[in-house]
Amino acid sequence: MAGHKIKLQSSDGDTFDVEVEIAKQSATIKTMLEDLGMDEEEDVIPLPNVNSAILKKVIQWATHHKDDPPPPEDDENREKNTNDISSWDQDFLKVDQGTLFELILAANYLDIKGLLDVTCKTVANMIKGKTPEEIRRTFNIKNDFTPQEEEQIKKENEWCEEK
Amino acid sequence: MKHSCVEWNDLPDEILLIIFKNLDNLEVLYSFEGVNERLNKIIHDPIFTRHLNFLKWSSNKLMNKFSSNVIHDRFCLQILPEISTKIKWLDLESSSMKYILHAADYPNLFGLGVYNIEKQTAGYLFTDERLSSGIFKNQITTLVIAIDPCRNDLSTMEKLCNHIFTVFINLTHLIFYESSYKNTVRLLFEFSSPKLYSSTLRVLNIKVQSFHICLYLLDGRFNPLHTFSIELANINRPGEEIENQIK
Repeated sequence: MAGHKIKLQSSDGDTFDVEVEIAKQSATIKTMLEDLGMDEEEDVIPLPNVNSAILKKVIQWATHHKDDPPPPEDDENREKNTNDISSWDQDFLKVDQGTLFELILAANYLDIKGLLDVTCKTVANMIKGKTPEEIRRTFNIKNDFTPQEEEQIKKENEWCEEK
Repeated sequence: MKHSCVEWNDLPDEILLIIFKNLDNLEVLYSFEGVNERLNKIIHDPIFTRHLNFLKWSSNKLMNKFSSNVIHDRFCLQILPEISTKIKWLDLESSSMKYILHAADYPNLFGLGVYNIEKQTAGYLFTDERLSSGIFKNQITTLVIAIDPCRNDLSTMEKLCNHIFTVFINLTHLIFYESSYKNTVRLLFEFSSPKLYSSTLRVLNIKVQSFHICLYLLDGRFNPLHTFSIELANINRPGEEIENQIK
């Protein structure tokens, strides 16, 4: 029913009133409501894996996209295109890297395919064209190769540069 | 909103896979090969290593995906040798085909696509000793060939047809790919070449000039053939009778 609301509770205890139709973009919440017979009026849906700040962002995204058609099913053969992010989503995702990763984790946990797609595409765009060293710097990834393995890689790099 | 402390390393493998699936396999390998052990394990999954396509479409033409020699060398010297056992299919542009095929041994390669082939590179397919007596002879069962549409060279097509089965002796699938609708290179020969023969070929996709070549192709020279896709330029009745009924 349009306008009908449910309560979502974040990991840090904050409660958000959200329209059912908006909340149902999350397949996880939809399943809870439909299969587990939760009473929309009374019950609070706890989301122990999502904190308030991120849940607020997720609700903002879901509200903006509430009239979107359902996202297409995954197809391994689909063309890989990361340039189709809408300008609203691009602005929405101008956040620090940690927040972007938290949004990905939340989208995955809540099973919101559209949000997962757009956040993962944003990270993919940050990766494109970068060398391993630039990747380590961009994402603060530690090199866990042994010094011997590292030496071997360096030697190969020198050979590559001399050529 | 205060800054979050979640980092790349907090993302589980399943999330990294979803991110990487938005990228081309070569982009994933180029950026992550050698970053760290965990990422090497993920990107060595067959999803990213089974089929490598070194081509891209640009202005209605097939071209090398990478124009930079540095990127090209990184693949040939580091990445391909590292993942060579996992590669099952390579799609290559004729100008870089030699270096990529020589970069590693590829013991499990069975499919090969070679694009923009012209006279010189067609010759290379049959004269490189290491490849002719190795991968081409023993492993390749599926071959996709696209002749350079800018050259529209009929003799290249004929050369390929006359030599292909003497080198690629285990071919089961041979596809002549049309990389341009403007120029289709067709098979045109006046006699039936005995070299155009295979006891293994099951699928053939080819464009020919005339109907009598079609009849020659069906005269029993490809006994196991079960799928034959042919495009004819003209369908004139042949001037002579062609023995194409297997007794």
